[in-house]
Amino acid sequence: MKTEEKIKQLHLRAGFGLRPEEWAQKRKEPLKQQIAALFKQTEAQPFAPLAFAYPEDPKSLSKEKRRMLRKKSRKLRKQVNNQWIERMIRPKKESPLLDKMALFWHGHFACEPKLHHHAEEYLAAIRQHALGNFKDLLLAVSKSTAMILYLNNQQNRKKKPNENFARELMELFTLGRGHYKEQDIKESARAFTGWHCNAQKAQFKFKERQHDAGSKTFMGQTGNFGGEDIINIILQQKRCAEFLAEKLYAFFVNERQPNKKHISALANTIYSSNYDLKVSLRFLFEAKWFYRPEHLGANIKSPVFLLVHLARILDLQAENEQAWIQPQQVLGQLLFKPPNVAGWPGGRSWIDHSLLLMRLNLAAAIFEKTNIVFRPKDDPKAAGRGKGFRKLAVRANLAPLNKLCGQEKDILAELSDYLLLQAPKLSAPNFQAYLSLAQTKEEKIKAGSLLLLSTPEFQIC
Amino acid sequence: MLNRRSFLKKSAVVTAGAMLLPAFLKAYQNDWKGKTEFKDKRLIILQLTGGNDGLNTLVPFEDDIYYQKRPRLAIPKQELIKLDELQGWNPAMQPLQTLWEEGECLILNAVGYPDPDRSHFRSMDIWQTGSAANEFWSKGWLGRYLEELPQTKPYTAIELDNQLSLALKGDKMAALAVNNPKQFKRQLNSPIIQALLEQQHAAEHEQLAYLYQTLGETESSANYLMEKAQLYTSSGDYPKTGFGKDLKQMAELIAAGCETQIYYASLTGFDTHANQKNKQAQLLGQYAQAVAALRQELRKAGEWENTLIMTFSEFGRRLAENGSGGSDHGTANNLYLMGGGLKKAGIYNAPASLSQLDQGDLIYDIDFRRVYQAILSDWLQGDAQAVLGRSLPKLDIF
Repeated sequence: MKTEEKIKQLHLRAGFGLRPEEWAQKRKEPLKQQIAALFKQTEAQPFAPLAFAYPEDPKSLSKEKRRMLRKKSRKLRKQVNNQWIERMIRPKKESPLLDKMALFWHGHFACEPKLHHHAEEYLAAIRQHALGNFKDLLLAVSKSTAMILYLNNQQNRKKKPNENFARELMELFTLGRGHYKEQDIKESARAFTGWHCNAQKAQFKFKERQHDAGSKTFMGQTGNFGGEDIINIILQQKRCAEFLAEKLYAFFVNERQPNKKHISALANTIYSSNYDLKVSLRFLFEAKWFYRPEHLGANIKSPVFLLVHLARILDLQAENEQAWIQPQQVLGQLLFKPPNVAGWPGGRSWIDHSLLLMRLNLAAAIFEKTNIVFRPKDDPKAAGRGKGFRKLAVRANLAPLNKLCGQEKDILAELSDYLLLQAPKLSAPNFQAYLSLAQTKEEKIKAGSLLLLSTPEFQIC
Repeated sequence: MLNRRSFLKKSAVVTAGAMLLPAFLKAYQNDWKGKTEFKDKRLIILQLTGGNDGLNTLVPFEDDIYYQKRPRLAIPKQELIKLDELQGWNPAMQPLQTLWEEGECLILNAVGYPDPDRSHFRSMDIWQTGSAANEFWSKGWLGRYLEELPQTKPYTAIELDNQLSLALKGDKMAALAVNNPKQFKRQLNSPIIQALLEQQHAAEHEQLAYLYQTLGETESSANYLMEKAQLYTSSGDYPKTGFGKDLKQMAELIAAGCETQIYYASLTGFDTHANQKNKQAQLLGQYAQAVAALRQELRKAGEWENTLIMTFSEFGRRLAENGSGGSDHGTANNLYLMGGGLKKAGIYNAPASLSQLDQGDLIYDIDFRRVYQAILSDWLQGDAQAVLGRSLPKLDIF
């Protein structure tokens, strides 16, 4: 790869792409320095808590009041979603890598928090530990109200163990299918009995009376294990580091072609660093093979990434609280609502004929009503069909783009350099016809960027 | 295009009265490249979204427990359309009475799956993928069927919607979400999309080639469907609702000889936690009228014998009504198969027991994947084992 390509690759994978002013500055900086910068601010800046406290004793309320309460809370969950998207677009002090990693963890620890403060707690956990130690992260997620409820650990009791959490812990969070026995699930489920939560307060609660303190045999070791012991034993398995390396490789490097040698090198780093995520990711971004040409554009942007990337390029502001939610729903990745505990399948599953058309029209829908109706699938809880939209409820600010291209003679080439990994051929007469409509420099910048943002080339990263 | 259309219209006038397909179509067969008739078996899936209350769709009127548990919701025996000695249809299903009487309907009772999930989303995914309750599959059962076909076109399966359901998703993109061909075509009308379609692009980049190919296929499918859509205009009596329009569109494409094997459409609003009676009657009435109209048109077009319609919902509802004149999420439900070429008709098995329940819900008798298996292997002549990833006890219905 050329140096500029390496820089683009780094920021597309380790973040959400560069804003115009960032590109102007970073395209000339040494790569090493840019990698180092990603690891400087790795502490999550918290969100302002939502101005609504869930009552501690909702049972004293009438049934109708409780229903309203839940409804209000579900609505507020959208605000948590919005806060997070806003933070991806405009990070406070934190490295963009932090929220990119948090997004990865949200897919990895896929979970649907039902109430707003459950979402807040869960999100705080995956952001706080996004670049910390995997063990702390795993513990924090396992103890979050959202996950305890989602995987039924609230029903995991001494006399009647519920295996749901134990199974997914191994199958989806740490080892992958085929690397544990059914007996390991049964035994570890017992170790997690009593890991409950106070759903009103969104707080972890260890219920000693429900905990099975007896002896368990798990992966060849025997003892009166509790949940944390099980997690320790799992992390001792090299397989856990390999499993993480496979998933990180697909997300950050190449989702189409896994390279066994490189995955194994990453797994070794994860394991020898004792699951230190900063060390592991730094190894990844510093590896020569990360910049191999075959990885350029090998992945398809997830809907959230696509949206945030557009918002960063065009400095978008939401006009209402649905502005970020609607495109997520339509394009198939609504935060806090993964399809199931296995997360979003990703890759080419983001694309079918109609989804591609919507994605190609997304940039146009920022500026005008499009020919396409963006409508999500029917909500089974709704009384009828949803309406959909033709324009996004956002406002663009092209000043940064104008500044970037203002001095340039060949605006299209400059834009293409900034926006895309691979310049499309623009020889079709219609392209020229479209571009020739623009008269002033600013019109040309707007038309040119809209054109490039509407290409298949912009869909890949 | 314009000329062809006016030509066809004119010819229709000349051959006065011959407007009916397929005879009309056949006369102009040479106009078309390749096959214009669809000769295989066709499958239509109708999804009742939200969890249709099966117990009030097909009422077990001889069971006292039904009347005890549903003091407000129960439908009196004398109002029902009696189908046999035990069960009768909600009166809103009246438009389908003829279809029933002519032996074009097979009803399966208590269809469900082990460890039923009462979440709409999860249960719908289970039904749409054909997975077990503890498996998470990212491809649909029909998507996988399409993958198994030796040859497909992007419109081998069509969903009447602007987004594809999981049921039709697979690696081979052989399913298309289309509201109506005109609107579909209009989506491609932006100057940028048009320019992209004209553009020669580099094929060496794997993902880019894939995206450009998908875009190209979208256009050729839109053109194909537009051509077909202009051939036949339905005159059936469909409800003037989204679902009615979807089935009307379906009838037009079928009658025009569209080479589509699978059609998919949904009717939503069945999540009747409150004031169920009117709401469900309105929805069932809409469903019945639309299906009756579709049947009539397909019969005229000679396409009814090779068509199978399967109607399902993600779950049925709880036996006991709730306090708001509605019902809550349940489990097993009836499933409907309709068509002109059924080997078996009537009610296949006994109604679900109302005395033996699991947490207040009906216990399933037939695993829905056995129905899929029968449809895949005995109706579509496909490889059910490959599609479903398992082999289940055979359900002898075709």
